[in-house]
Amino acid sequence: MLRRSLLLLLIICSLLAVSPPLRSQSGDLRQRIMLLLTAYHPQFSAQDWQQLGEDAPLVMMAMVDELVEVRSWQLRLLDGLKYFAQKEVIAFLEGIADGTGDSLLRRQAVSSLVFMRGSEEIPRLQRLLSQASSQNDWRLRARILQELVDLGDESGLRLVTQHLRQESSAIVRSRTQRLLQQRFRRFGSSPR
Amino acid sequence: MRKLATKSLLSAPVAVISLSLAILLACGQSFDDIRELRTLVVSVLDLGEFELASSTFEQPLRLSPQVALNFPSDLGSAGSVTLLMQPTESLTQEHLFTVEVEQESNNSASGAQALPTTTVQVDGNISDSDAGSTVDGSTAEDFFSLSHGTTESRVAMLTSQLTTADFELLVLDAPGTTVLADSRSDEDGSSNESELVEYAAVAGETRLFAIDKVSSDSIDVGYHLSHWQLVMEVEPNDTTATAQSLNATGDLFHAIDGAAAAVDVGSSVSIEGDSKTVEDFYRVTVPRNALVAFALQMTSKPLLGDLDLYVVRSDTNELLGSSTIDQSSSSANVESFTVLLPADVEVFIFVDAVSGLSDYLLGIQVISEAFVTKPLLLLSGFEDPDEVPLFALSSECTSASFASADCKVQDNGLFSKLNEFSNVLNQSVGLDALSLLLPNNDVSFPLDDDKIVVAGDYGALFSGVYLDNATVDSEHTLTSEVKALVKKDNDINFGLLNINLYFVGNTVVDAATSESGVQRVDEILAGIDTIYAQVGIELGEVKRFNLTTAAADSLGIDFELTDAESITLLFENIQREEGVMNIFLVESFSIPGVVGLSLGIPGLPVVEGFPTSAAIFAMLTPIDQQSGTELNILKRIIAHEIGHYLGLYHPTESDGEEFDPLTDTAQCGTENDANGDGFVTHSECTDKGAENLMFWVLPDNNNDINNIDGITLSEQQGFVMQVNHYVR
Repeated sequence: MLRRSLLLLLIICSLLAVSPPLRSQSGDLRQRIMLLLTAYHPQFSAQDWQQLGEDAPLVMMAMVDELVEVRSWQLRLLDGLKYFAQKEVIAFLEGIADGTGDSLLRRQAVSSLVFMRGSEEIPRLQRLLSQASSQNDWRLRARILQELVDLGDESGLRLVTQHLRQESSAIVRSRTQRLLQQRFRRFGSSPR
Repeated sequence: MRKLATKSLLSAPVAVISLSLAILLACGQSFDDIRELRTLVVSVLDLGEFELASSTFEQPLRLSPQVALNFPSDLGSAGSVTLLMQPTESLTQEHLFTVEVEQESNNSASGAQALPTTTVQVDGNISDSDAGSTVDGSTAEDFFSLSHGTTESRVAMLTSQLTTADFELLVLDAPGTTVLADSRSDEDGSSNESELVEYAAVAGETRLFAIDKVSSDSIDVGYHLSHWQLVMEVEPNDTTATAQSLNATGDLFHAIDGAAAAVDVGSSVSIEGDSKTVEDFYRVTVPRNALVAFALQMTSKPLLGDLDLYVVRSDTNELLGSSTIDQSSSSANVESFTVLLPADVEVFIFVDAVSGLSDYLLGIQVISEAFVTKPLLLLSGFEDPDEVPLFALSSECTSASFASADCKVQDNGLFSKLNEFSNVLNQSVGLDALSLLLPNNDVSFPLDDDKIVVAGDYGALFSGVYLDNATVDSEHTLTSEVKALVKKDNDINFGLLNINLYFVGNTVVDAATSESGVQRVDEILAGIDTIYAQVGIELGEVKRFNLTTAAADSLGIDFELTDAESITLLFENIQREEGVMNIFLVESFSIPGVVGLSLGIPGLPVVEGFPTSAAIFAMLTPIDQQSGTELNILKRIIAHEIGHYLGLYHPTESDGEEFDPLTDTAQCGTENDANGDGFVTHSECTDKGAENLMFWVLPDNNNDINNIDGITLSEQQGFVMQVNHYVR
């Protein structure tokens, strides 16, 4: 949490420090980012996000905290950030995923991190899975298990099957088992 | 005013409606109260099962059987026919399905061509002769094969010997799987004139020629009228697609000698010319409305080939008259026609050598005495080839499409959702069914003066392709069930939309049923009512259901919009009701930031045996905790998706290059992309359609988002939705 606050402070200072022309550019950038947030049917590609430029992640991260009144915009921002594999972005997403805040945003941060780092994220997923053990955290567990199934990594799938034996939520169990079945129908193998 | 009294009658037979009318009258209901008891009948026709051969993108079209449709004469101004197609097996590969529909007695605007190919008949072979050979036929569909000895461009010509039927000519590859060329874009829906099809003949390869009788007259007038003649000929003058275009240069152009001549009322002028340079051009200015007769006679001996005469308005490219309807495919006899030339316009006349080379005599006579007080001035031909205007034929236009006002060549419409007559459904949502609302616009669909679909027979062509990366068994075929839902309704100005609103999962239910949650839902519905009132659509009965089973709880979180199984599971939790739109409100979607989606444009009707469809929305923030802006976004998105569900497309897509087929929705093209980012944004399209409910993107600031009253819908969008089977 502290790390995230410091990061945000850094972002805000960076934005305040820019010269007037740059601020104007930032305004234009915000408008271009807003376009990706406000489309009725968001089908934007990595290129659409990346062509916003290298300054975009800073602005996007600031907007995540600024646009709290519209959750769909926050989710799209967190999703769009996955196309910017920068240290600051990863730290920002990790801060949200590891935090104790909004479950919906945490789930999206987890998904974006898995997109960016693939199997390298498995240790974090394992840790989060064990931490999110309360009844209220079942949504997060369901998402983590889904990411593990989608990753298809052998160790990840083993983790899923191990976790399912102790999963307390019937919903999580049934959802994950359905995902596993779909995956095995597609690939024709089962986890060991 | 809500008129709930009749809602339960909507799916009832006419007899029940009549009985209810009598009861209401007996109970003293006012006429206004019972006006929605208008003639409204909804019936489902089972059109049978058809085999649909799948194919790859490389071989995109296989002919599917023609599905015959009949639009009844009592359809009414808000009536429609919705076609439904569903494969009888679950698809394992992603498909793209297309259905194209045409009016059988007039193929004028449609690129569609239903091909009745249940049995391929090969009745005979046409000889491959430069001099041409003819074959007479008399069946509704016939097929011929022709092996070619040389590689060259060929023109096949089909001429109907009688005027009451329409035939089309298609050239296919030898297995009959791919249409190489066709005459489907003929303008007047008749085979009075010759229909020309240019195709590439390849030495050693066989081409299949399909003659398809598409007119609906055969049943009435008898089989013996169905005669056609196929003429194969090598056309020395028209060997390329642009042979008849008017931007010909160099040797193809021939300036006309001769001084300008004035033609008085009652007088005539004759011009001698030759067609050795393929096309000759003349231009005429018309001071007053003038009824003018034109005549063209071939004068060379012996008489060879065919000359045609066209008169075209220079400012609009409108074809005012032509002699192409000659049946003999020869200009041996005089070809003549009379047209009323409008005042103060310039018209172009051109003589076109369709085949053969000949001298000719062109006669022009001003025969009207009523309007013309000044002489009609006949100017000389153009002296400079560069002077020849590019007035009629753009590069993609061919002679076959010349007479259409916009000279638009229709391809087979396979992949264009904006083809007015066709509908493409990407089956990624997994419902494996397709629906097509007819009419889906009031611009190009054949409507009469009262904007009611022209009654009569229509044909529908179903086709499908596998999408990229699919593993394709080229021999695999799908059997599809086809149904038609017929809605007879005569009130185009008013309609009710009934909705079943399902709250999925405990979190959503808790939020939506709390005191403030109920108010928020009411507010959303009121907002939708306000938006749709512009086009005479009111929300009728909106029933709310709480789905709180464990299954619903599971489904409602991170709902998989692209997963057929999830969608099917949703429907297992509800009771399907014909004529009522299903709206599901879940907690969240698996696709980040998506708030809503209509499963289909338009949504499938609820018909026995078919998967039903819905629009699904994600609450994201509990509805009783949403900010004003978030609530207004949800309101806008629900209203927008209802528009899709009722058949509307985005008037302008994000790139500013694709538009809906309607003419009264503003278009915001790429020229408005001020910052060049490849998107036409809301602010860039202010007053150019951004305010329309169906614009592709929401406003980018809270003030505009919260201005619900500023949302617009056009009259034609209203038409599309009023004829939808859900609006009654």
